[in-house]
Amino acid sequence: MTKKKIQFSKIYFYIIICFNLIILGFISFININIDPEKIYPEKIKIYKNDFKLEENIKKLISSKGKMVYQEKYWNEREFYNIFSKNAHTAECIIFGSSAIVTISANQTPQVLKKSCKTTLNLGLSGGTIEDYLAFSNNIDPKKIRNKKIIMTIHPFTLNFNRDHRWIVNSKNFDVFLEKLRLNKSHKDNNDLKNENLSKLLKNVTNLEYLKTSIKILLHSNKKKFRIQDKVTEDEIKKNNVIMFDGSRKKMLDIPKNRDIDLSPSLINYKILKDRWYDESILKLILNYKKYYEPQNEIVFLLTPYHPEVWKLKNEPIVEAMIIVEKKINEFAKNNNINVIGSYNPSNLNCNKHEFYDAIHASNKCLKKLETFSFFNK
Amino acid sequence: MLFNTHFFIFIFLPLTLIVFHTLSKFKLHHLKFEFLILASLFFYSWWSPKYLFLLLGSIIANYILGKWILKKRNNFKLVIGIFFNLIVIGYYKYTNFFIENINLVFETNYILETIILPLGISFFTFQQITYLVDCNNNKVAKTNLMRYFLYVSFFPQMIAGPIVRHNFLMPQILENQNKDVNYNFLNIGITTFTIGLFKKVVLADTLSKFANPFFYFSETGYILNFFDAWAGALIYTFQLYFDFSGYSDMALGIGLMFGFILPVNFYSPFKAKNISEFWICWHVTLSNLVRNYLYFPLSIYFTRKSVQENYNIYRNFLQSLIIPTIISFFLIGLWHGAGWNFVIFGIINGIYIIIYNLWAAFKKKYKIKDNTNLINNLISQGLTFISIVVALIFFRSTNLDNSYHYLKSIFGLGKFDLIDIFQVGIFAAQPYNGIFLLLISSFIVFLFPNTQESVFSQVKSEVNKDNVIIKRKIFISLKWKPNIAWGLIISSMFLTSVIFLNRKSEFIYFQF
Repeated sequence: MTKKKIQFSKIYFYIIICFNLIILGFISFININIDPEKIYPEKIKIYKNDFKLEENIKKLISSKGKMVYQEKYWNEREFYNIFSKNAHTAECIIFGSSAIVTISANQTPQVLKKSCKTTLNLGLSGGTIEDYLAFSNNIDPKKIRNKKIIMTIHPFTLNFNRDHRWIVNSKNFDVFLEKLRLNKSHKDNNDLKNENLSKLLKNVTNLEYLKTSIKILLHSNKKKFRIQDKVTEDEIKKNNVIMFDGSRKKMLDIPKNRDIDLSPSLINYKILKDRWYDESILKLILNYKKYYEPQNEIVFLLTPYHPEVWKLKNEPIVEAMIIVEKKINEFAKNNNINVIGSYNPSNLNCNKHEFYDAIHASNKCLKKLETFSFFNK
Repeated sequence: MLFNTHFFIFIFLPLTLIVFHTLSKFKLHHLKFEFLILASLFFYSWWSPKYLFLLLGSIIANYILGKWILKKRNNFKLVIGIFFNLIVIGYYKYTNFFIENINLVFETNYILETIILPLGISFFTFQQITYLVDCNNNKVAKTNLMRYFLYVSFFPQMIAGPIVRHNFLMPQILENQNKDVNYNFLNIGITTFTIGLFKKVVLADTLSKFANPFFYFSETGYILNFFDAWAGALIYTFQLYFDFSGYSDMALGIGLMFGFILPVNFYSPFKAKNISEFWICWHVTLSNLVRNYLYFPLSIYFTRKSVQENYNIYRNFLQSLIIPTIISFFLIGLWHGAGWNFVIFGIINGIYIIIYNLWAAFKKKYKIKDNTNLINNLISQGLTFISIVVALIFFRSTNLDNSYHYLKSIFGLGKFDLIDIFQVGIFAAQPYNGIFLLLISSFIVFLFPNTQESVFSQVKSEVNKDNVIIKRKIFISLKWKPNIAWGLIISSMFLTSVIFLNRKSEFIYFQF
């Protein structure tokens, strides 16, 4: 090898080393200093960031307060992922979509109070079966006892891929599927032993950690997120409000004699004609039931649609509701699962004034859910 | 310890390299191999220290057996040596499988505590079996216990291959004993390692996020749509490709950083135009081992017998081709894992090889010439690829039932929904990303040169000439050079890989 060639090789070597040292050094500097999860010692930091999402949610739960935030800065799934880690704090854990977000047995008007002393509401806008599975990854069956896991079965729930927002928690979704497949809830000790060291090392240069750090740095989220004892009507109008049990605070007044939007795109939300349910998802739910039982119970919940929707006999949603309700009741009966509620408001004695819109019932109507069960019909 | 962890990349590897090259710089050559052995043992024990004793015991026992065979070579000694190794691997890898099958056949209920499979046992055991065979054939290079330790335990190749022949590595150990740092080797090593890391962390791990849900769902009883099943199978095939290719590149790269050339283990197998070529390029060292140490001896034995006994053409064909092929692939399958799905994976490939050989014989008999135009090539390449995709369903599934379940969907016997095409997991939620990933993967796999062609071929050494497995036409020429542009490209790849390193993901071949 000639001298020139060796010299040239050294340049290549130094480029790689220097380029990576500089960029990785910069990333590490941000990650260690902002440190969203507070895992690095304070001594080595220049910037002091006293915000930690997980701590704040825990504080919210224990203080029984209310959290006010602006949607444009936060993804609700980030919050509920942490809420799901606190499943032990309530007797009932409720999965569902926006139709159930106001449900709470802890606050007036109390909903589901016969079935649950306390609730943890994990309802989300566009909540699908994938979201239920992703959050379940944080709910270890060996750490919860005598809980009711309430799965809201919307007319679209028994199908995959009806919404894409669950992707935020896709890692949880993957891991939970594996747990369900193996029917195994715990990691082995070897994994746990190495986890702390690897967490410290990997987050130094980790992309996700960097994204969160930058988000904190740019938006200074702390200012857009506050926990307080009371909220004013004005705050509810302008912001999103999450209660300590995960339920949402909404304006309770429903103007009388208003027109309900019955446009097909709204009422048939996530409904695909002739694809009412996927038999395989029912099998998956059976595995899910096995995974959490016998220490815990699985319950199905059906929430009503506006009476006017039921008059639109030619719309797919009506057929979907009839078929899915029949199927889920039959499935529940065969597998000894309790079903609360119905899609049909007349079964619950809900009138048209008890709905926010075509698909969202108010708590006044939802309070009547427990009056109807397929088994006590 | 995994190559794709922060601890390995930022602590273990740099420290080991610095100490090794410092010893070399200060002419403390006698210490550098001892240090490398210690580092390798530490590397192995990181997974579970108690199995270090198994590794040490295996190395010492095989070294003694080798010496014994070399004293006066005879087949009986060799059989004892091989038998010893097969007992060890049999106990750790196949006992549970054996008991399960006994229980199944005789309806008994023997229960055995699950035996943990020691990391890399299939690799270091088979490597040592080849050593014993080579001892018996007097094909081993001069060695001593320390060098033999390094030959078996050298950490880049110990736990997932390549399976290195004694006379491939040992001359290099002797040659490198008094050598200084070779910056070219170091640069090519870093480059190869980075390309491998990128393949594993950025490509294989991203593909696995898309592929896993299909298989998980199928295993929980979910009936996949035909399109979902194919998407899952294709994505998994590419995931396995980048996983294994990535690991092989990383192993070669690390070897080179320490001045050793390891044998190429992966040589663009999906560019193969027939199944025989595929097996020449897929897990090259295992294929070579089985071919040289099992298939050829069996085939020669049966052919001789066939000639002696004057068998008819069909019996001759059965004995000289079908039996050796099926036995070889049965063992390749079993080597990959103790499960009937792996056995079936092997046998299916054996059947593919037999069909290919029949076709080759047919062409020869009727003097059909190979037409090498683009369309013919595409058809043969496509057929080979699809055959492999189907066979890999057995490789991926956790048992035969699951394979059957998935195959039903692959052949359209599950759901066939043309409107709601993709229904499951991340692929359904982000179909454009999934399709984009498939396209990018296909582009790299079918059109890009492999690492050997673009980078590793620049290692100027006689040993590396053996690493050119097959000469192919390259569609996109990418010749690496140690210049600033390549420095920036490789740096960006390293950087991307490191920031993507956010989850523990084992190499698929680690489980074997």
